[in-house]
Amino acid sequence: MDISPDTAAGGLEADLLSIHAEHAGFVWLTLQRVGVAPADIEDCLQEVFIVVHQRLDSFDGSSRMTTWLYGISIRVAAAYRRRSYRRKERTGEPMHEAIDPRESPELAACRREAQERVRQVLDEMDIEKRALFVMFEIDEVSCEQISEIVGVPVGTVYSRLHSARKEFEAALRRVEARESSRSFWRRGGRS
Amino acid sequence: MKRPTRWLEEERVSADVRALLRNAGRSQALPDETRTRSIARLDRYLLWPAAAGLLFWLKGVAIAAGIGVVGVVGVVAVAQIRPMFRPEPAVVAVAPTRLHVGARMASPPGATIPAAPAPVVSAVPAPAGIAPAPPEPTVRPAAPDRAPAARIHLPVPISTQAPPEMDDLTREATMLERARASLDRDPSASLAELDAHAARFPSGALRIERELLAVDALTRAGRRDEARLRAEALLPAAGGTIYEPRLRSLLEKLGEP
Repeated sequence: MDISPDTAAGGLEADLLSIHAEHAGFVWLTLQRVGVAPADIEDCLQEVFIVVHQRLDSFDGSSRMTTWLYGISIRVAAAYRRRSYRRKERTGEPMHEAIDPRESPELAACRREAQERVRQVLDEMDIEKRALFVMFEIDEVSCEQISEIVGVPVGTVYSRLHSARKEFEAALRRVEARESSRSFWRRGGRS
Repeated sequence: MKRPTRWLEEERVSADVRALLRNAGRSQALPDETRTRSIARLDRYLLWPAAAGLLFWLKGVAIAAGIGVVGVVGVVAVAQIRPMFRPEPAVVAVAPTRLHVGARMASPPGATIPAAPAPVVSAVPAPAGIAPAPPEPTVRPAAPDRAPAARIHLPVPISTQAPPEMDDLTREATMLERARASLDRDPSASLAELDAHAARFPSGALRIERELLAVDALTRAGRRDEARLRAEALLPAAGGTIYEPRLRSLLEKLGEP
Protein backbone atom coordinates (compact mmCIF):
# COMPACT_ATOMS: atom_id res chain seq x y z
CA MET A 1 0.00 0.00 0.00
CA ASP A 2 1.57 3.22 -1.07
CA ILE A 3 0.97 5.74 1.63
CA SER A 4 4.44 7.17 1.93
CA PRO A 5 4.00 10.86 2.61
CA ASP A 6 5.82 13.43 0.60
CA THR A 7 7.76 16.25 1.99
CA ALA A 8 6.10 19.60 2.19
CA ALA A 9 8.63 21.25 -0.07
CA GLY A 10 6.80 23.09 -2.78
CA GLY A 11 3.50 22.61 -0.97
CA LEU A 12 2.86 26.32 -0.86
CA GLU A 13 3.23 26.61 -4.61
CA ALA A 14 1.20 23.55 -5.35
CA ASP A 15 -2.27 24.32 -6.55
CA LEU A 16 -5.39 22.49 -5.61
CA LEU A 17 -5.52 20.19 -8.61
CA SER A 18 -1.95 19.04 -8.26
CA ILE A 19 -2.51 18.38 -4.55
CA HIS A 20 -5.58 16.42 -5.52
CA ALA A 21 -3.67 14.46 -8.15
CA GLU A 22 -0.98 13.56 -5.65
CA HIS A 23 -2.89 13.02 -2.43
CA ALA A 24 -6.53 12.19 -3.22
CA GLY A 25 -5.74 8.49 -2.75
CA PHE A 26 -4.33 9.15 0.71
CA VAL A 27 -7.35 11.24 1.75
CA TRP A 28 -9.64 8.52 0.39
CA LEU A 29 -7.92 5.89 2.56
CA THR A 30 -8.00 8.15 5.61
CA LEU A 31 -11.72 8.79 5.25
CA GLN A 32 -12.37 5.04 5.15
CA ARG A 33 -10.19 4.48 8.18
CA VAL A 34 -12.16 6.98 10.23
CA GLY A 35 -15.45 5.33 9.32
CA VAL A 36 -17.04 7.46 6.61
CA ALA A 37 -19.64 5.30 4.86
CA PRO A 38 -18.67 4.25 1.33
CA ALA A 39 -21.64 6.13 -0.13
CA ASP A 40 -20.43 9.35 1.48
CA ILE A 41 -16.68 9.10 1.00
CA GLU A 42 -16.74 10.89 -2.33
CA ASP A 43 -18.63 13.86 -0.87
CA CYS A 44 -16.29 14.00 2.11
CA LEU A 45 -13.30 13.82 -0.24
CA GLN A 46 -14.71 16.84 -2.05
CA GLU A 47 -15.26 18.61 1.24
CA VAL A 48 -11.65 18.00 2.25
CA PHE A 49 -10.34 19.54 -0.95
CA ILE A 50 -12.65 22.52 -0.67
CA VAL A 51 -11.20 23.13 2.80
CA VAL A 52 -7.72 22.69 1.30
CA HIS A 53 -8.55 25.33 -1.29
CA GLN A 54 -9.81 27.73 1.36
CA ARG A 55 -6.87 27.19 3.69
CA LEU A 56 -4.00 26.67 1.28
CA ASP A 57 -2.63 30.11 2.13
CA SER A 58 -2.34 29.12 5.77
CA PHE A 59 -0.28 26.02 5.00
CA ASP A 60 3.20 27.17 5.95
CA GLY A 61 5.12 24.05 4.98
CA SER A 62 6.23 23.42 8.57
CA SER A 63 4.55 20.02 8.44
CA ARG A 64 4.20 17.47 5.69
CA MET A 65 1.38 17.95 3.23
CA THR A 66 0.01 14.53 4.21
CA THR A 67 -0.01 15.53 7.89
CA TRP A 68 -1.95 18.66 7.02
CA LEU A 69 -4.38 16.69 4.86
CA TYR A 70 -4.74 14.06 7.58
CA GLY A 71 -5.77 16.75 10.08
CA ILE A 72 -8.33 18.20 7.67
CA SER A 73 -9.70 14.73 6.88
CA ILE A 74 -10.11 13.98 10.58
CA ARG A 75 -12.02 17.22 11.14
CA VAL A 76 -14.24 16.67 8.09
CA ALA A 77 -14.93 13.09 9.20
CA ALA A 78 -15.71 14.23 12.76
CA ALA A 79 -18.24 16.73 11.40
CA TYR A 80 -19.66 14.00 9.19
CA ARG A 81 -19.98 11.69 12.19
CA ARG A 82 -21.84 14.36 14.17
CA ARG A 83 -24.21 14.91 11.24
CA SER A 84 -24.77 11.16 10.95
CA TYR A 85 -25.58 10.87 14.62
CA ARG A 86 -27.99 13.78 14.41
CA ARG A 87 -29.76 12.07 11.53
CA LYS A 88 -29.56 8.83 13.53
CA GLU A 89 -28.02 7.06 10.57
CA ARG A 90 -25.60 4.24 10.66
CA THR A 91 -22.28 5.16 9.16
CA GLY A 92 -22.96 2.57 6.49
CA GLU A 93 -21.94 -0.79 5.25
CA PRO A 94 -18.25 -1.57 5.24
CA MET A 95 -16.41 -1.33 1.98
CA HIS A 96 -15.79 -4.99 1.25
CA GLU A 97 -12.75 -6.26 -0.49
CA ALA A 98 -13.33 -7.84 -3.88
CA ILE A 99 -15.01 -11.21 -3.52
CA ASP A 100 -12.71 -14.12 -4.12
CA PRO A 101 -14.55 -16.49 -6.51
CA ARG A 102 -12.83 -19.43 -4.84
CA GLU A 103 -14.34 -18.53 -1.49
CA SER A 104 -17.33 -20.57 -0.40
CA PRO A 105 -20.64 -18.77 0.34
CA GLU A 106 -20.34 -19.77 4.00
CA LEU A 107 -16.88 -18.30 4.28
CA ALA A 108 -18.01 -15.11 2.51
CA ALA A 109 -20.92 -14.81 4.96
CA CYS A 110 -18.55 -15.26 7.93
CA ARG A 111 -16.28 -12.64 6.51
CA ARG A 112 -19.15 -10.17 6.11
CA GLU A 113 -20.30 -10.86 9.66
CA ALA A 114 -16.80 -10.20 10.96
CA GLN A 115 -16.58 -6.99 8.96
CA GLU A 116 -19.90 -5.82 10.37
CA ARG A 117 -18.79 -6.63 13.91
CA VAL A 118 -15.50 -4.77 13.46
CA ARG A 119 -17.37 -1.79 12.03
CA GLN A 120 -19.69 -1.68 15.05
CA VAL A 121 -16.74 -1.80 17.40
CA LEU A 122 -14.77 0.84 15.52
CA ASP A 123 -17.83 3.12 15.40
CA GLU A 124 -17.70 3.20 19.20
CA MET A 125 -14.13 4.47 19.23
CA ASP A 126 -12.72 7.97 19.29
CA ILE A 127 -12.09 9.00 15.69
CA GLU A 128 -8.33 9.54 15.95
CA LYS A 129 -7.74 6.35 17.90
CA ARG A 130 -9.83 4.51 15.38
CA ALA A 131 -7.71 5.85 12.51
CA LEU A 132 -4.52 4.81 14.24
CA PHE A 133 -5.86 1.38 15.13
CA VAL A 134 -7.09 0.70 11.58
CA MET A 135 -3.85 1.92 10.04
CA PHE A 136 -1.73 -0.36 12.20
CA GLU A 137 -3.86 -3.44 12.83
CA ILE A 138 -5.88 -3.72 9.63
CA ASP A 139 -4.09 -1.80 6.88
CA GLU A 140 -0.70 -2.86 8.24
CA VAL A 141 0.91 0.54 8.03
CA SER A 142 4.17 0.67 9.95
CA CYS A 143 4.56 2.83 13.05
CA GLU A 144 7.20 4.91 11.25
CA GLN A 145 4.82 5.69 8.43
CA ILE A 146 2.02 6.46 10.88
CA SER A 147 4.37 8.81 12.69
CA GLU A 148 5.00 10.67 9.42
CA ILE A 149 1.33 10.82 8.53
CA VAL A 150 0.14 11.99 11.93
CA GLY A 151 3.14 14.23 12.47
CA VAL A 152 4.16 12.91 15.89
CA PRO A 153 7.25 11.02 17.12
CA VAL A 154 7.23 7.21 16.81
CA GLY A 155 7.16 6.86 20.60
CA THR A 156 3.93 8.84 20.69
CA VAL A 157 2.49 6.50 18.05
CA TYR A 158 3.32 3.54 20.29
CA SER A 159 1.57 5.06 23.31
CA ARG A 160 -1.45 6.18 21.26
CA LEU A 161 -1.69 2.72 19.73
CA HIS A 162 -1.65 1.22 23.20
CA SER A 163 -4.50 3.50 24.21
CA ALA A 164 -6.39 2.75 20.96
CA ARG A 165 -6.11 -0.99 21.61
CA LYS A 166 -7.53 -0.56 25.10
CA GLU A 167 -10.43 1.38 23.64
CA PHE A 168 -10.99 -1.28 20.98
CA GLU A 169 -11.15 -4.00 23.64
CA ALA A 170 -13.59 -1.99 25.75
CA ALA A 171 -15.76 -1.25 22.70
CA LEU A 172 -15.71 -4.93 21.71
CA ARG A 173 -16.94 -5.89 25.17
CA ARG A 174 -19.77 -3.36 24.93
CA VAL A 175 -20.83 -4.61 21.50
CA GLU A 176 -20.75 -8.23 22.66
CA ALA A 177 -22.75 -7.36 25.77
CA ARG A 178 -25.38 -5.63 23.64
CA GLU A 179 -25.53 -8.58 21.27
CA SER A 180 -25.98 -11.13 24.04
CA SER A 181 -28.64 -8.95 25.62
CA ARG A 182 -30.48 -8.71 22.30
CA SER A 183 -30.29 -12.44 21.68
CA PHE A 184 -31.50 -13.09 25.23
CA TRP A 185 -34.65 -11.04 24.60
CA ARG A 186 -35.09 -12.59 21.16
CA ARG A 187 -35.27 -15.94 22.88
CA GLY A 188 -38.07 -14.56 24.98
CA GLY A 189 -35.95 -13.86 28.06
CA ARG A 190 -34.75 -17.46 28.40
CA SER A 191 -31.07 -18.04 28.88
CA MET B 1 8.15 1.95 25.08
CA LYS B 2 8.43 -1.45 23.46
CA ARG B 3 7.86 -1.61 19.72
CA PRO B 4 4.33 -3.02 19.25
CA THR B 5 3.65 -6.12 17.18
CA ARG B 6 0.38 -6.57 15.39
CA TRP B 7 -2.33 -8.40 17.28
CA LEU B 8 -2.65 -10.80 14.38
CA GLU B 9 0.84 -12.01 15.16
CA GLU B 10 0.43 -12.18 18.93
CA GLU B 11 -0.53 -15.44 20.55
CA ARG B 12 -1.70 -13.79 23.77
CA VAL B 13 -4.51 -12.00 21.91
CA SER B 14 -7.72 -14.00 21.82
CA ALA B 15 -8.44 -16.07 18.73
CA ASP B 16 -11.77 -14.26 18.31
CA VAL B 17 -10.13 -10.86 18.07
CA ARG B 18 -7.53 -12.17 15.66
CA ALA B 19 -10.25 -13.72 13.52
CA LEU B 20 -12.12 -10.43 13.52
CA LEU B 21 -9.06 -8.51 12.41
CA ARG B 22 -8.15 -11.10 9.80
CA ASN B 23 -11.56 -10.72 8.18
CA ALA B 24 -11.94 -7.00 8.74
CA GLY B 25 -11.03 -6.06 5.20
CA ARG B 26 -8.43 -3.46 4.36
CA SER B 27 -9.22 0.05 3.21
CA GLN B 28 -9.74 0.15 -0.53
CA ALA B 29 -7.75 2.34 -2.92
CA LEU B 30 -9.39 5.26 -4.69
CA PRO B 31 -10.98 3.95 -7.92
CA ASP B 32 -9.89 5.72 -11.11
CA GLU B 33 -13.42 6.69 -12.11
CA THR B 34 -14.04 8.29 -8.70
CA ARG B 35 -10.77 10.16 -9.00
CA THR B 36 -11.80 11.50 -12.43
CA ARG B 37 -15.24 12.46 -11.15
CA SER B 38 -13.74 14.20 -8.16
CA ILE B 39 -11.37 16.22 -10.36
CA ALA B 40 -14.30 17.27 -12.56
CA ARG B 41 -16.24 18.39 -9.48
CA LEU B 42 -13.27 20.37 -8.23
CA ASP B 43 -12.90 21.96 -11.66
CA ARG B 44 -16.46 23.15 -11.50
CA TYR B 45 -15.94 24.40 -7.97
CA LEU B 46 -12.86 26.36 -9.08
CA LEU B 47 -14.38 27.83 -12.20
CA TRP B 48 -17.77 29.00 -11.12
CA PRO B 49 -16.78 30.86 -7.94
CA ALA B 50 -14.20 32.80 -9.94
CA ALA B 51 -16.85 34.15 -12.31
CA ALA B 52 -19.38 34.56 -9.53
CA GLY B 53 -16.80 36.31 -7.38
CA LEU B 54 -16.05 38.80 -10.15
CA LEU B 55 -19.75 39.35 -10.63
CA PHE B 56 -20.36 39.95 -6.94
CA TRP B 57 -17.31 42.17 -6.74
CA LEU B 58 -18.65 44.32 -9.57
CA LYS B 59 -22.07 44.35 -7.95
CA GLY B 60 -20.48 45.47 -4.70
CA VAL B 61 -18.59 48.24 -6.45
CA ALA B 62 -21.76 49.39 -8.23
CA ILE B 63 -23.77 49.39 -4.99
CA ALA B 64 -21.02 51.28 -3.14
CA ALA B 65 -20.80 53.80 -5.99
CA GLY B 66 -24.59 54.19 -5.95
CA ILE B 67 -24.62 54.80 -2.21
CA GLY B 68 -21.76 57.27 -2.59
CA VAL B 69 -23.56 59.21 -5.33
CA VAL B 70 -26.79 59.30 -3.34
CA GLY B 71 -24.82 60.56 -0.35
CA VAL B 72 -23.09 63.30 -2.35
CA VAL B 73 -26.36 64.40 -3.96
CA GLY B 74 -27.98 64.47 -0.52
CA VAL B 75 -25.20 66.59 0.98
CA VAL B 76 -25.32 69.01 -1.97
CA ALA B 77 -29.09 69.25 -1.76
CA VAL B 78 -28.95 70.00 1.97
CA ALA B 79 -26.27 72.62 1.33
CA GLN B 80 -28.52 74.20 -1.29
CA ILE B 81 -31.68 74.16 0.79
CA ARG B 82 -30.28 75.42 4.09
CA PRO B 83 -29.33 78.93 2.92
CA MET B 84 -32.79 79.36 1.37
CA PHE B 85 -34.39 78.92 4.79
CA ARG B 86 -32.24 81.38 6.63
CA PRO B 87 -34.47 83.76 8.67
CA GLU B 88 -33.63 86.84 6.59
CA PRO B 89 -36.47 87.09 4.11
CA ALA B 90 -36.01 90.78 3.38
CA VAL B 91 -32.43 90.53 2.40
CA VAL B 92 -31.16 89.11 -0.78
CA ALA B 93 -27.60 88.20 -0.50
CA VAL B 94 -25.93 89.06 -3.71
CA ALA B 95 -23.03 87.21 -5.03
CA PRO B 96 -19.97 89.25 -4.27
CA THR B 97 -19.10 90.33 -7.76
CA ARG B 98 -16.58 93.02 -8.42
CA LEU B 99 -19.41 95.41 -9.33
CA HIS B 100 -21.03 94.99 -5.93
CA VAL B 101 -17.80 95.45 -4.11
CA GLY B 102 -17.35 98.71 -5.99
CA ALA B 103 -20.89 99.79 -5.13
CA ARG B 104 -20.30 99.04 -1.50
CA MET B 105 -17.15 101.04 -1.50
CA ALA B 106 -18.87 104.01 -3.16
CA SER B 107 -21.95 104.02 -0.99
CA PRO B 108 -22.10 105.06 2.63
CA PRO B 109 -23.15 102.39 5.08
CA GLY B 110 -26.91 101.87 5.21
CA ALA B 111 -27.58 103.41 1.80
CA THR B 112 -29.61 101.47 -0.70
CA ILE B 113 -28.31 100.66 -4.11
CA PRO B 114 -30.10 99.60 -7.21
CA ALA B 115 -30.82 95.94 -7.45
CA ALA B 116 -27.98 94.02 -8.80
CA PRO B 117 -28.38 91.98 -11.88
CA ALA B 118 -29.36 88.42 -11.43
CA PRO B 119 -26.95 86.47 -9.33
CA VAL B 120 -24.11 84.87 -11.13
CA VAL B 121 -25.12 81.48 -12.32
CA SER B 122 -22.60 79.01 -13.44
CA ALA B 123 -22.73 77.53 -16.89
CA VAL B 124 -23.59 74.19 -15.37
CA PRO B 125 -27.30 73.57 -15.89
CA ALA B 126 -29.13 73.50 -12.60
CA PRO B 127 -31.98 71.13 -12.08
CA ALA B 128 -35.46 72.53 -11.93
CA GLY B 129 -36.62 73.64 -8.53
CA ILE B 130 -33.27 75.04 -7.44
CA ALA B 131 -33.50 78.30 -9.43
CA PRO B 132 -32.23 81.39 -7.64
CA ALA B 133 -34.74 83.52 -5.78
CA PRO B 134 -35.91 86.60 -7.75
CA PRO B 135 -34.15 89.84 -6.71
CA GLU B 136 -35.92 92.18 -4.33
CA PRO B 137 -36.45 95.84 -5.33
CA THR B 138 -33.96 97.08 -2.81
CA VAL B 139 -30.97 95.48 -1.37
CA ARG B 140 -28.56 96.50 1.23
CA PRO B 141 -24.96 95.57 1.01
CA ALA B 142 -24.33 92.16 2.23
CA ALA B 143 -22.30 91.89 5.37
CA PRO B 144 -18.75 91.02 4.51
CA ASP B 145 -18.84 87.82 6.54
CA ARG B 146 -22.08 86.60 5.09
CA ALA B 147 -21.83 83.55 3.01
CA PRO B 148 -22.94 84.08 -0.52
CA ALA B 149 -26.41 82.66 -0.96
CA ALA B 150 -27.85 80.98 -3.99
CA ARG B 151 -24.65 79.30 -4.97
CA ILE B 152 -25.89 77.54 -8.00
CA HIS B 153 -22.72 75.68 -8.88
CA LEU B 154 -24.25 72.24 -8.87
CA PRO B 155 -22.34 69.18 -9.83
CA VAL B 156 -23.18 67.60 -13.13
CA PRO B 157 -25.93 65.09 -12.36
CA ILE B 158 -24.46 61.60 -12.07
CA SER B 159 -26.42 58.56 -13.10
CA THR B 160 -27.03 56.11 -10.28
CA GLN B 161 -27.51 53.26 -12.69
CA ALA B 162 -25.06 50.36 -12.58
CA PRO B 163 -22.29 50.50 -15.14
CA PRO B 164 -23.23 48.78 -18.38
CA GLU B 165 -20.31 46.31 -18.12
CA MET B 166 -21.98 44.61 -15.21
CA ASP B 167 -25.02 43.75 -17.25
CA ASP B 168 -22.79 42.38 -19.96
CA LEU B 169 -20.95 40.29 -17.41
CA THR B 170 -24.21 38.89 -16.11
CA ARG B 171 -25.23 38.01 -19.64
CA GLU B 172 -21.84 36.42 -20.29
CA ALA B 173 -22.03 34.38 -17.11
CA THR B 174 -25.55 33.23 -17.96
CA MET B 175 -24.52 32.09 -21.42
CA LEU B 176 -21.53 30.20 -20.06
CA GLU B 177 -23.65 28.60 -17.38
CA ARG B 178 -26.02 27.35 -20.08
CA ALA B 179 -23.06 25.98 -22.01
CA ARG B 180 -21.76 24.29 -18.89
CA ALA B 181 -25.14 22.77 -18.10
CA SER B 182 -25.28 20.97 -21.46
CA LEU B 183 -21.61 19.98 -21.44
CA ASP B 184 -22.19 16.46 -20.15
CA ARG B 185 -25.23 15.41 -22.12
CA ASP B 186 -24.85 17.45 -25.33
CA PRO B 187 -21.40 18.89 -26.08
CA SER B 188 -22.62 20.14 -29.49
CA ALA B 189 -25.32 22.28 -27.88
CA SER B 190 -22.70 23.52 -25.46
CA LEU B 191 -20.42 24.46 -28.37
CA ALA B 192 -23.29 26.30 -30.10
CA GLU B 193 -23.88 28.32 -26.96
CA LEU B 194 -20.15 29.06 -26.70
CA ASP B 195 -20.07 30.18 -30.34
CA ALA B 196 -22.97 32.50 -29.61
CA HIS B 197 -21.00 33.90 -26.69
CA ALA B 198 -17.92 34.36 -28.88
CA ALA B 199 -19.99 36.20 -31.50
CA ARG B 200 -21.58 38.48 -28.94
CA PHE B 201 -18.64 39.00 -26.62
CA PRO B 202 -15.51 38.35 -28.69
CA SER B 203 -13.34 39.94 -26.03
CA GLY B 204 -15.68 39.50 -23.06
CA ALA B 205 -14.48 39.36 -19.49
CA LEU B 206 -15.10 35.61 -19.37
CA ARG B 207 -13.50 34.76 -22.70
CA ILE B 208 -10.83 32.53 -21.14
CA GLU B 209 -13.47 30.53 -19.36
CA ARG B 210 -15.40 30.30 -22.63
CA GLU B 211 -12.39 28.93 -24.45
CA LEU B 212 -11.70 26.47 -21.66
CA LEU B 213 -15.27 25.20 -21.83
CA ALA B 214 -14.95 24.97 -25.61
CA VAL B 215 -11.83 22.80 -25.25
CA ASP B 216 -13.73 20.59 -22.82
CA ALA B 217 -16.78 20.40 -25.11
CA LEU B 218 -14.66 19.59 -28.18
CA THR B 219 -12.90 16.86 -26.23
CA ARG B 220 -16.20 15.36 -25.12
CA ALA B 221 -17.50 15.59 -28.68
CA GLY B 222 -14.51 13.55 -29.85
CA ARG B 223 -12.96 16.44 -31.80
CA ARG B 224 -9.64 16.04 -30.07
CA ASP B 225 -7.46 17.71 -32.71
CA GLU B 226 -9.57 20.85 -32.68
CA ALA B 227 -9.63 20.74 -28.90
CA ARG B 228 -5.84 20.50 -28.76
CA LEU B 229 -5.35 23.39 -31.18
CA ARG B 230 -7.76 25.55 -29.25
CA ALA B 231 -6.18 24.64 -25.93
CA GLU B 232 -2.68 25.46 -27.20
CA ALA B 233 -3.91 28.79 -28.51
CA LEU B 234 -5.42 29.55 -25.12
CA LEU B 235 -2.35 28.65 -23.10
CA PRO B 236 -0.56 32.05 -23.31
CA ALA B 237 -3.69 33.92 -22.23
CA ALA B 238 -4.47 31.48 -19.42
CA GLY B 239 -0.91 31.43 -18.06
CA GLY B 240 -0.76 32.44 -14.40
CA THR B 241 -4.53 32.43 -13.99
CA ILE B 242 -6.67 29.98 -12.09
CA TYR B 243 -7.61 28.46 -15.43
CA GLU B 244 -4.08 27.31 -16.20
CA PRO B 245 -4.02 24.09 -14.12
CA ARG B 246 -7.26 22.92 -15.64
CA LEU B 247 -6.12 23.79 -19.13
CA ARG B 248 -2.90 21.89 -18.63
CA SER B 249 -4.82 18.95 -17.26
CA LEU B 250 -7.04 18.97 -20.37
CA LEU B 251 -3.99 19.25 -22.61
CA GLU B 252 -2.42 16.34 -20.80
CA LYS B 253 -5.49 14.25 -21.46
CA LEU B 254 -5.50 15.34 -25.08
CA GLY B 255 -1.87 14.37 -25.38
CA GLU B 256 -2.71 10.77 -24.69
CA PRO B 257 -3.15 8.60 -27.77
